[in-house]
This record gives sequence, structure tokens and C-alpha cells, in this order.
Amino acid sequence: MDHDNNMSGELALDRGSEGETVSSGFNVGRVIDNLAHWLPTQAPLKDFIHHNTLHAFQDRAFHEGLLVASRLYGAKPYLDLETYQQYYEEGRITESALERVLVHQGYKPGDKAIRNELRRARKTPTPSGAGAFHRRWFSERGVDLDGQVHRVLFRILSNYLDQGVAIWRMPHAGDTLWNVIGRIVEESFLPFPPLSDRQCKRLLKGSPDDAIRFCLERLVGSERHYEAYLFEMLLAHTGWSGMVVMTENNRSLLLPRKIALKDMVAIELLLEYGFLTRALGKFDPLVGGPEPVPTFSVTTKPTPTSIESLQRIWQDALEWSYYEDLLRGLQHTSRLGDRSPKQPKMQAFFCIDDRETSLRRYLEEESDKFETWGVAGFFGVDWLFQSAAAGVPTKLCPAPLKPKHLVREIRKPDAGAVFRKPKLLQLLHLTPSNTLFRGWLITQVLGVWHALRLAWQVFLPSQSRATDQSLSQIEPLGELQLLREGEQQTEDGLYLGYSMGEMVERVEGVLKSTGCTKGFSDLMVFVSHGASSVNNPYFAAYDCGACSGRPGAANARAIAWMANHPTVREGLRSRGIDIPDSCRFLGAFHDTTRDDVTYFNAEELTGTHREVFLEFKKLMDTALQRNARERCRRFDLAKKNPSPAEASIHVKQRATSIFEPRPELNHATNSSCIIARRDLTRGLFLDRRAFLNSYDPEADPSGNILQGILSAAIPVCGGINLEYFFSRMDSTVYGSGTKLPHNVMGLIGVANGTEGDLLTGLPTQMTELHDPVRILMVVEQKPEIVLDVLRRNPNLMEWVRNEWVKFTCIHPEEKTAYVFQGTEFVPAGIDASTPVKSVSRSEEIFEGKSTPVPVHLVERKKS
Amino acid sequence: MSYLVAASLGLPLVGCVLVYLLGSRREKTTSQVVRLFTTLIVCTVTALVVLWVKEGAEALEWDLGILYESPRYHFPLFVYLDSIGIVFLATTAYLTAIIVRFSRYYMHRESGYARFFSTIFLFLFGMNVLVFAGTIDLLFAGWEIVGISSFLLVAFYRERSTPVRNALVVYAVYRVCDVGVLLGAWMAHTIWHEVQNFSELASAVATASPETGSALTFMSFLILLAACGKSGQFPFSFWVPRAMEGPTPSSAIFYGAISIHCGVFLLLRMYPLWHSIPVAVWVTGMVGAVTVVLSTLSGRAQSNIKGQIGYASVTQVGLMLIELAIGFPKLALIHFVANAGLRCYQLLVSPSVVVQILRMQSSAGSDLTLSEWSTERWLPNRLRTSLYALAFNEGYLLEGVRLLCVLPLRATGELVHRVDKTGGRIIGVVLAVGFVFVAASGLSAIWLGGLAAGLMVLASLSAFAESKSAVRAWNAVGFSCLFAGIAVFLMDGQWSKDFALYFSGVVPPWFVGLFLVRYFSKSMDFARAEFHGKVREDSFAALLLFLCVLGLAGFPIGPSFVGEDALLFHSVGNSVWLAGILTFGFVVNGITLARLFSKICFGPELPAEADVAIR
Repeated sequence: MDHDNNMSGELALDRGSEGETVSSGFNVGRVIDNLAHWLPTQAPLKDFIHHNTLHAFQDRAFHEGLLVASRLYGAKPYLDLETYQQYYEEGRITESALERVLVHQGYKPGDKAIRNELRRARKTPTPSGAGAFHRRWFSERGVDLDGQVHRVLFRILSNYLDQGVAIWRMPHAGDTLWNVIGRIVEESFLPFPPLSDRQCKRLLKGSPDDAIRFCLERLVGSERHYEAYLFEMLLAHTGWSGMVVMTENNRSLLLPRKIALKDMVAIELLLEYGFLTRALGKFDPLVGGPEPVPTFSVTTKPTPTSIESLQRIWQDALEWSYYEDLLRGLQHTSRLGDRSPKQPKMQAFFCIDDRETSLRRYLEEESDKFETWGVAGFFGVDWLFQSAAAGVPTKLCPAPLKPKHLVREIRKPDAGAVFRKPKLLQLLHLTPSNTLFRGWLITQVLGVWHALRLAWQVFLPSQSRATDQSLSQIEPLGELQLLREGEQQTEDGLYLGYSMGEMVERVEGVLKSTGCTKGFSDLMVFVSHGASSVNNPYFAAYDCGACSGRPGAANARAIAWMANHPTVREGLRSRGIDIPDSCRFLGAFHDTTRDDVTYFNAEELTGTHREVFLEFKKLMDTALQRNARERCRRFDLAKKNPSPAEASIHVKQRATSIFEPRPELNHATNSSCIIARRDLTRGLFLDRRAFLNSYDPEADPSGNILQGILSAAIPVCGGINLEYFFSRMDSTVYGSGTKLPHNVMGLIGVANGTEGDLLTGLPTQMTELHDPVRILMVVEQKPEIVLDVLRRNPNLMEWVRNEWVKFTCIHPEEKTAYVFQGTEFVPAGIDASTPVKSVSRSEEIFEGKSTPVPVHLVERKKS
Repeated sequence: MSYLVAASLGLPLVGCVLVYLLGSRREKTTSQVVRLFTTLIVCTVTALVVLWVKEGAEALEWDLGILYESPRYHFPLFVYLDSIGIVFLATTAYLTAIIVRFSRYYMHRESGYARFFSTIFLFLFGMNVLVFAGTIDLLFAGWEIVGISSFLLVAFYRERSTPVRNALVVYAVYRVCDVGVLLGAWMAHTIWHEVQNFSELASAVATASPETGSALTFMSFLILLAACGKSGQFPFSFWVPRAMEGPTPSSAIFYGAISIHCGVFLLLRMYPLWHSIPVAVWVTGMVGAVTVVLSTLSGRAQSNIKGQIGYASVTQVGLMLIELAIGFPKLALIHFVANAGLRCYQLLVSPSVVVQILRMQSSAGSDLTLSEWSTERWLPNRLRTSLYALAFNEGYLLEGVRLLCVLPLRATGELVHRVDKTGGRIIGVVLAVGFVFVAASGLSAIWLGGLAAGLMVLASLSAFAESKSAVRAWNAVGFSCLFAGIAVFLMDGQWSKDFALYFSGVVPPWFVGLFLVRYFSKSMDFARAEFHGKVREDSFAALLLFLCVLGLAGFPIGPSFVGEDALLFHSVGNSVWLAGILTFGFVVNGITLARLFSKICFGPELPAEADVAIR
């Protein structure tokens, strides 16, 4: 039997056919490409963006992918049995959901035996990951190889990729990693253990391919185990392996580096060889003869253990407990008829973000003349934006988009007062104070001052001004150069601004996709969002996901400017959207941590617009305070049942406290995404768990608008949801564990202590309150139209068919829920007889509660 | 005022125990108790400082009584407070208060919430004992407590291997440098034949007879060794960045602010002694200078923020050593306060470094090319690369210490082991026969004692190298302690209650610990993995075992601490080498015990199933 071919065939994912014929079965380049596929894809800190942790497994059914990943990385696939059992006791897993899941799996209705089995107490075993082959260095030869190699390897990688922490860069850092190390070892008069070994030195002069072959021969011995050995080696530090792959394919580093996974593999093998030689002298490879190695294949279908099967039932039941409740609520509202304000006085567009749902509810609760809309928070402006304060442009649109426009902000001469360059005194505690002489002076002169400053910030956090709120500038510094003046392109092929026609398209896109094409009020506000926090390396995860993890302030300004432009309005009119001249658009920015709103260019409003704006502002301020109050119910350390004003102070304090690891809870509660008319969700208390995208099914018989929405909503919301899901399931393998010992490595990632592997995923402080349920997509549209859209988009279909997101729709005419199963939509069978609880104020629902609350309907009392 | 002194010693200790007992389950209560105790401590210390200044800001001394007394030996509790003490006392109390306030929010919902604050109080207690200590023996007690609390906080995340491994590195360095204080205390006994108060140190040194000159020099070096270990000076700088494994505030208070300056405190305390000896002054200055050069270089190549701050702190401590050597203790004292404040702040806000640097880099008008080298640009290429290699490898200090200390120790231990395996019984019998023979033949007690001391070292080394059986390692340490007592007893020739005290401090923890180690061994294959994480299964037994380890290692918790001190006191009459051998044995035992405990109780949970390889 041809073993070599068999093995490469198993690992390859239809991607390695380079047509090369090699005499040997082992092809370094191809094998490394294959391995790269299985490594985590998390970008450097500043570009952090939520994504499906198990993206590599997305071509399989969800539960199957979960198990393969679990075998591979040694991660927990589900919560422990005890946790599910406890949820059941608490009623968070409902009897009806459990029954639904059991019946679906083929059990008889009301089956006692399986229920007993599910509730029997037993210990959930800790999964073990791959690595047995590699661990033989310890178990058979007594060498703690990883302990020695990782220390040096991580430091090499971190120093090479460093973006500005170290005072000295690596010499020749512009060269490839392989050459840099070769040159350092060659040039240095001092040794570089263990690479100064004669053999290593010789190999460093050659190519990485040769070094890899040489080392594998000495370390492993048998060619058919090479790939497995390399795989285990890379999986022993997925953080750094993944980062190398990410930086290899990504040019976003401010200090570019020519790194390649192959170089890293070669250097790691050299280090292993060097340390083994040092410990053992001459040594034999791990595999001498044709002895069999116990194997686990990443491509076969895994068999779940009996406990895993039970966990899966529980997990599905946990999800359906939430789904049933939500779908019941939506079915109920769909039958209430048209409830939208007849003549709205003011309207606001919000990001679909789950954190905005409660604010929208409060605004509409405060005034029946208020109408809100949800749309992805980049407001259709797909661009690179360069603030007047920034030296480089930033991408402010969803990660998959490739913007073709660059817009610069031109600084107003009097804007100096707004933008403060960081003061020298504030920055002195950065690297200069870590050098010898300057450090001595700074320490002697300013040490005590820093102690006092620390005391000030710790004891009076709300008094201290946050010095590092956000990476991006929120306040406008001048005019946006939105209108393109010529057709010349930049070096990167970008247009400087938009033409009038392109602007019309952008505004039309936002208005048509949400169904907001008539009934314009006098004031329409685009509310973007972002978050301010201090002392938080995860800052990018707090901002707007639709703006590639940045605050969307500039997008709100841009879309408002476009929509206000007379020529654009002209163009819109010719396309059937008639915006009356009395209508004014305004950009605004919602800080989701502090719960305050900044308005852009509001001083330009006059007359009635000014009056409406002042009313808007007043409503918004009340809504923000009530929103803060609702958020406080989830904070243990907040006062119980605070007044709205107290709550507002509390959340602002969180944003400026250097000791607060949870400035806000981000997407911790995300569990669904509803693409529907506002009528379907108006007044619904969704407990900040839903992404809300406005969509008018009647205006979209072809499904084209839906297609546009879904192609952003599924990857963005699904990515956020699954990242939380997996980080919650296994907080150390998929998540980054507790935030408290984290140490910033080279500005590109965090690690535990100074010698740990880079951490991927989210810290427990962000995920501990998360109920791990896959996101439920709800689309208000006829099932056949939705199915047609999905079939036209294989990428989206993969998410849905393999159940990485759960997909349902509410039939706009039948007003019942359908769920996607297998290949089609079937009636969801939601029991409509249980009424949805109704209250008159949101506060009645959550007063005194700190756990998730089911769906309620808030109905304004007619006054 | 003495009440205030007692309160500032007692409050942290009571706080430590109380918070531990309260546990993390009711976080709010624990948090309130922590706040109460911190407030009380800050008030006490403030009152003490105010009173002290009011009474003329002069050195004061109180006798709090005698902890233990026998005809030939006593352990008095002298409290000494001068300007150095006041500065350290106040800085420690205030910075700890800030850290506590910070952590009460920062540590929210962390599973080790109570454990964290309990250890912080233990640290505060140790610091206050250290600062108030009027004698070197008492100072050693504080020194040890600070060391063990440091170990506990580095290994705070005990379910992962790296923190535990690094905690052991830190602890081993501390322990090796304890030789300095331990032998230093013994030297003090030899030189002055009784317990010497710090208040009388200056006059005692001035009036010392000329023949004690070399002894004083030796003692100065011992003190310097101790200071170097605790403060991360040459050649021990490598442990400081590795200690940054705990939650950020604990790293800030220990390696940024207070603990790292313990060595400076010791040198300030013993200033009259070593500063009167030119060689010692020279060496101290040189150590400071070498540290400054190596650690500033090492710091420059640290691309992680905490490591860089750690080295910056070490560099400043090196400068303090130089300041001390050239005769500016006041300047060093000010330098300490300033450095503590700055580094503490830097570490606490270290997570913001990303935003701050990126913001600087990406703001308009900044130079994005970011110069590759700062001041060293003018160096020739190869020299620059060599300097980088030196910096990258942190001055080769870890390598050096491993090569010079750890490997020989392990090799000897393994040799003992091999001999033990092949013919251990036979050698034991031969030795025993020899013992009886020597005893019967009436040879001098020196030989008998020497033989026992030799056995002690053999047992220690054997325990150090034991990797297969936890029970055997534990017993070897026990025997080692036993032999130490026997050795001194044989040499001293007369039984006194000091020996009874020593044995009463060693034997019970040995046997209780033996029971516990056996209990744990039932469910683990000691050789199979590096760590076994038993604390998760039985935290009470793990706590008991920890207490046994402390007792057996002569930690200031039971009679064995005073016993060990008395033992060394009795070996005064004999010779340097006996004290040297005993100290060596104690140090090795300490390291072995910490490692044994960590291997059994700490570390990750082992996967239940058999390992699988991937294809």
C-alpha cells in the first residue's frame, strides 16, 4: 500500500495540485501550505476583527466540525454536562425545547430513558489534543523540548515582528526572517544559543527547504511521518503559528515584515535540533523502523463519545429554548399589523449592532413620533478614510469589502484646539523611561509624580481624563474631501473621493435596503457607534464590526453630507426617492461604553431644524440614561436598581477606570439577527440579544436586496457570534483566558507573562456572561424567495446548510415561522397559544434581575 | 507608639488569614474585609509616621519580648525604626493600598479572588517584619515571607505550567540567595557572639577587633549576594521578566514597586557594615555597574512591554547600588521611592501601550520609518549585531547560572542516585558500620558530625535529583533535615532544648507530609508528567501539604525556623565549613520541596484518555 500518497491525500484539501513531480513524496512547500489551513486566523491587535474561530472546518456540518476541532486542538466541544443540567434546573433550558430536539433526533415523544440518561450526574472528561508524537521527546528521551524551544522561538518571532515596543529593532529586520537570523548568527561575535552550533550555522547559510529536510531526517527519520510531526509542532503553539500565517498574507503592518511560515518552521526545527544536540549529543530519530503510530485523521468523520452525544442534545435544547421564545414573540408581533408612526417627526439610522437595540427601543418608547432604522454601521460608505490627525488611512467598511475610494479630511485652521497631540509628560512612562540615562533622570524627577497620578486615577477615576480613549479620532477636525475632483488615482489605485453618481448610489443603497423610501421627517440622524475604554488591548473588538473594528463616526458624517447635497438629492429623485427639501440629515456618534452621543455639524442647523434637533437631543439623553440603567443590571459591581442618572455616571466611570477589565460587555449577549420591518420588532424587549437590520419584504420580490444584506450580515454577525461561542466553550484553547495576566507582545498580540504563546479569541471577561447559542437568523420574507437567494450564493449556503448559523424566516403573509432543515424550509411549529407577556415600561421587565430575560412586548399606554 | 508598631505587624497577618478563610464565594464580603483592613493599615502607618516625625524623627528601638530562650541561645523580638524604615514602611503601605483598591475591581469574578488578597496581605506582613526587624534573624523571617508570597503570586495561575515553572525559577534564585542572609546571620553570631541589634551595628563595626576583618568582609559579600538575588542584580537579573506571570497588579507591586527593592533595603540596613570595607564597596559598585549595562541592553531588546519594564526597574536598582557604593544612601532612598512609583504605574497601565504607541505612530506628521537603532547607530555592523545577540540572550545570565549551578547539582544528584540504586543499601550499611566504628573508636566529634553533615548533603542531592517517586524524594528531604540536627548535636556534644525545638519543628511536618504525599501518590504516576494539578481534587490536603513544606523548609511558621537559626548558632563554635554545608543543604532542600509541592499540586489537569497522534 502506498502510504505516502495516502497520507498527503488525507490532509490535502484540494489545494495542493501544483503539478510538480518530485522524486520524493515529501514536498516542503505543499505540506506547509496544507498545514497553514488549520491554524487560527486572528489579525494583529490593531486590526482585530471577529471571525469564526473554526473557519477551517466550515465545509463540514457544525457538530462534526466541532468534534474534529476538539480532537485536533484538545478543546472542549460543548459545555460540561453539569452546566447543562444546571441550566435545565434553572429553566434556562425548557422542557418544550428538549422535547423538540429529542423528537427531531428520533426519540419517542416523552421518552423517559433518555431523559434519565441526560440528567444522570457524571464527570465530563478533559479532551486531549494532538501532540503525542512530539511529546515522545519528553516521555522517551527525557528532554522537555517545547519548554526550551518555545522560549527562544517566541522571542525571535516577537522581536522580528515587533511594531514598536522594543527600543532596538532586530538588525536587518527588513530582510526575510530566515536571512535575518542567518545574518545575526553569522555576524555576531557572541554566540546565539543554540543556533551557533556548527551544523546549525552551516544550515543557516543554505535555504530553509534544505534545513527543513535535514532536520526532519535527523529528528523524525521516516519520511511518512514528516507531515504529522510538523503538524504537531505547529499545533503546540497555534497563536504564533497563526500570526505568522496572518502576517505573511497581510500587508497591514505599519512596519512591514517579510515573514513566511516556511521560514518559521525551518527555524523552529533548527532550534529543536540544536537543543536536542545540546542535551543528548548524538541522538537517534524518533522513528527508526516501520513501527505504526496511533493515528487520528482530520478528514474522516469523528465518532462522538456517549457523553458528547448527550452534550449535543443539551446544546441543541439550549439553543431551541431561546429560539422558540424569540420566534413566538416575532410571530406575535407579525400579527399585530402596521404599528409604525404615521408621521414621524424624527428618524434615526442605527447600526445593526446588538448593543443598539435597547437604545432604539427607549427612543421609540419615549416618543411615538420617533422612528428608527437598522443598517450595517458603515452606512454603505465603502472607503479608506484618513483623518486630519492621522498619518495613514484606515479602512472603514466591512472586512470582506475592498474599497476603491480614499477620502481625506482637510484640517481646519482653527481645529488645533480640538486635537491634542499626546503631551510629553503623559508619554514619558513609555519607552524613553526604560532606557538607562533618560530613564534615570525621568525616574528621579517624575517617579513620585507618577505615584500621585496613579493614586488619582485609581481613587478618582471619573475625574481623570482618559488619555487613550480610542485609536481613532472621533471629533471632526475639518472638512471631508468627499467630492472627487479629478479622475487620477493614487499609487494603490484608489480614487480620491466619490463622484456625484457614486454618492447617489451610496445613499440610494442605504435607503432602499432598509425600505426607507418615503415619509421622510424633518430630521434624519445617522448614528454610528464605537466604544471608549482605557487600558484595554482589545479595544478593536469594542468598536463597530461593520467598520472593520473602528468607530464609524466618519461614515456617519460622510453619508449625512452626501444625503444633504442638492445634486445627490436630484439624482435620488430620478431614481424614485423623493426627499423633501425640508428634510435634513445629520451625522452622530454613539459611544456604547459611556452611553453618550456626539452630533456632527449640528451648529449648522437653523430654525425649525434646530428646534427638532433640540427635541431629538432631549429624547436621546433620556433614552441613553435608561439604556445605561438597563446595562447596569448585568454589572455585578453596579448599584442595584440605580436611578437613570446614577447608571449614567456608573457607565461613564467604567470607560475611564484603568482598573476596569470590563468597560462594557460588548456582544456578550448576541444570539440572533432579525432582518425585517421595524414593525416586527417594535416594542419587543429582546434583551440586547439581537442584531436588527431593517428590510422591507414587499419592496424586494426578487430577493436582490436581501442578498446584499445577507452577504454582509451572515459573515459579520455569524463571525461575532461564533467567536463568542467558541471562546465561551473553551476559554483557554479557543479563548484567551482571563485578561488579567496578559502582556502585550510587539503590539501585535497578547500572551500570558513574558514567555507564553500568543493568545487567540476573546478573554473570559468578555465571554463569561455569554449564553453559547448559535445565532438565529430571522428573515421576514417568503421562504421560497429566501431559498432562492441562498441557492444563488454558495458561500452563504455553506453557513446555512452546515448549520454554522441557524436560519429561519417569518412568512409575511402567513405570519408563521419557517426553519431551514436539510435543504429546505419547513414550518417551525412554534406554539402560538402561550401569550407574549406585555408591559408598559421596559424597566418593569428587568427590575431586580441579572440573568437573561425572555421576550416581552412593551406597549406604550395611550395618554 | 509600640502599639502602632504591633498593629502594623498584626493587621496584615490577621487580614491574610481572615481573607483566606472567607474565600471567594462571597466576593462582596471578602472585598469589604479587604477594604477595612487596608484602611486600618494605612491609618496605622500614617499615625506611626506622624508620631515618629513629631518625636524628632530619630531612630527608635523597642523590645517586644523574647520569642524563644534557652540557656545558650535566645531569639529576641527587637523592633527598630529609623528614617530608612519609615520610608520603606510608608511607600509599601501606600502603594499596596493603591494596588488593593485597583485589584478589588480588577480581580472581580476571578476564581482566586480571596487567595490573591490573602497573599498580598501576607506580603505586606513580610515587608513590615523586614522593615521593622531590629536584628538580622528577624529580618530573615520577613525576607522569607516576602519570598514565599512572591512564589505564590507568580504561580497564581497554577493550572498552567509556565507560571508554575517560572515561579520555581524565582523561588530557586531567592532560595540560593538566602544563603547570604542565613550565613550572614551566622557570621553575625560568630563575630559578636550574641544577637546584634541594627541600632548598635555602626558602633559594633567600628569597635570590631582587627582579626575579625576578614569575617566582616565575608559577611559583606554574603549580604551583597542576598541583595543581588532579591533585587534581580547581576548575575540573577534573568528572573525578573519571567516573574511577570501573575495578574498585572501583583507584578506591579512585586517586580515594579516593592519586592524588587528589598535588596536595596538590606544594603541600606547593613550600610555601616559593608561601607566600612573598601573591597565590599568596590564590588557592590561593580555589581551595580555590570547590572546597569547588561539589563539596560537586555531591556532594549524586549519586545514585550512587561519584560521591558522589568529590566528598566532592574537597571534603576543597579544605579541605586552605585549610588550606595559612592556614598549617597539618601539619594538611593529617594531613588527607591521614585522608581517604585513610576514602575508600579507603568505596569498597571501596560495594556494601554498598544493604543498609545500606535496612536503616536499613526498620527499625522510622525516619522513612520521608525529608526532601526537609537543611540547605537554609529556602531560598526558586526559590533551592533553582537550587542544585539548579547541583549537578545539577556546577557547569557540564565545560560550561565544553569551551566554553573543547576547542571552540576543535578549531575551530582544523579550520581548519588545511581550509586543509591546499584548499591544504596550496601553503602548505607557501610556508612552505618563506619559510623559505629568511628564512634566506638573514640575519634573526635568533628569526624562524627562531619559524617552526619555529609549524609545530610547526600540526602539533599538525592532528593533534588529524584524524579520517579515523590515519596522517596520527600523522605530524602526528611532524612536530610534529621541528619543536619544530628550533625550539630554530635559536634556540639551536649544536648539542649534547642535541639528538641529543632526536631519538634522538623519531624511532625515530615510525617504528616509523608502521609499526604502517599495519599496523593495513590492517584498519580509521578514520573509520567511534569505536573499533576492535585489542588483541584483536594484543596484542603494541598494546603496541609503546603504547610508541611513550609515547616520542613524552616519557614517562619513553626519551631523549625528558630530551630534552624539555633542550629546554626550552635555550629558557631565549630567551623565555617559545617555552617556552610548545613546552609547548602537547607537551600537545596528548600528548592526540592517547592518543586515537589508544585509538581504534585499545581499544573494543568491531565487528559484522561490515552494520547493520540495525528495523521
